[in-house]
Amino acid sequence: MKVAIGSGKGGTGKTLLSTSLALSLEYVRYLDLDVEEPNGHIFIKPDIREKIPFSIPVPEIDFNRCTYCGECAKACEFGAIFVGTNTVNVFEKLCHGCASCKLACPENAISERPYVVGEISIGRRDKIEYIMGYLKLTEALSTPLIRYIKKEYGMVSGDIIMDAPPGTSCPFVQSISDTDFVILITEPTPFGLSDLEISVEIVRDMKLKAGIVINRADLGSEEVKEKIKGLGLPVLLEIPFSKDIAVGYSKGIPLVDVLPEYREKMKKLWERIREMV
Amino acid sequence: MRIAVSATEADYNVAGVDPRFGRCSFFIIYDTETGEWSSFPNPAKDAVGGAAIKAVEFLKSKNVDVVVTGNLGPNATSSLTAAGIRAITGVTGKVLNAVKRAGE
Repeated sequence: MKVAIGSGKGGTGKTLLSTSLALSLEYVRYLDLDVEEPNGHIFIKPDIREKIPFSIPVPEIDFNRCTYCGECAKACEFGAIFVGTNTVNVFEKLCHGCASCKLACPENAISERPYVVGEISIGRRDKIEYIMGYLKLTEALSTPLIRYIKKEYGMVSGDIIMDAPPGTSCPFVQSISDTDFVILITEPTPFGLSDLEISVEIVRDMKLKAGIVINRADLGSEEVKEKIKGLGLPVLLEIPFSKDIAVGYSKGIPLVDVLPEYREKMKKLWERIREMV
Repeated sequence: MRIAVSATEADYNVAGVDPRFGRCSFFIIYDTETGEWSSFPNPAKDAVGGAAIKAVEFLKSKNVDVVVTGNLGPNATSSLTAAGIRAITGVTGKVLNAVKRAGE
């Protein structure tokens, strides 16, 4: 069963919940897809045995063939190529690696070269297989890396937990696509609700099964909480606003070690999701 | 010589220099030979990414020789160089004055 944990608003507890689930289950694979700032390893503490560079193919221009006709720049949806009077600029950071420029070039002057944008770490702790994507600093495109990790490491049978990036744009959509279930974790504040509503809309559009976990459940107003409950998705769990959890989290101690009774709650949450899938 | 200014408004009589290049509202172009003014909404204003590159492409298609603006980023600078367009940066105030000074 593949379950993604997303939130819309950042800092509502995606990693808190993902790591707690992973540490409570038997034989699970953990994909940290929050590649701009992956932090699951701080709580899971895996032994990393391998680090693999990740690159996208970017265009390389053969200036012996190039006639500066500009067809490549016209074909590029992302403005990653600028054709000057006697030179061509390639902006790797804007390139999505789609090869449209290569297909459009009438002179066959474009080949591809790998451009490293990130790294994939593979490790293990006890019964958790841990895979983490890391996007290099100054790189902006996380979607190709997320797509690759899911294709390469997310297609196995068995239980997979995917810690998705915050937000509701492409990286989030890529993270939750082709999963069996999406847990949306939120906090009962107007900001949390606003982003949750967008997330729910996306999940519905993508026809994915989903449920809600409310973190810091005793924070915010009852009115907001009622609205969350009225979104039409089951509220699977409520986690209180607790200083002990926050202090533990700041030291890299997972929720299930601060409050061991949550191990049972996590197992039950997983079983409930399994029944719904 | 054709001078393009990143501008806050379309009317060159009232417009100020927009400090942003790639996402400015308008480009006002002055041709020093014909004395002709023209004004275009910046097609790159709301680009998702790479606005400056698209803006340079637009100015290149308008045969601009010099760009007058507030600030240029690395993508704008390298694209302008590749297009053979000179840039004058750090300019503030009215478009009229900026063009007058650039023409000198």
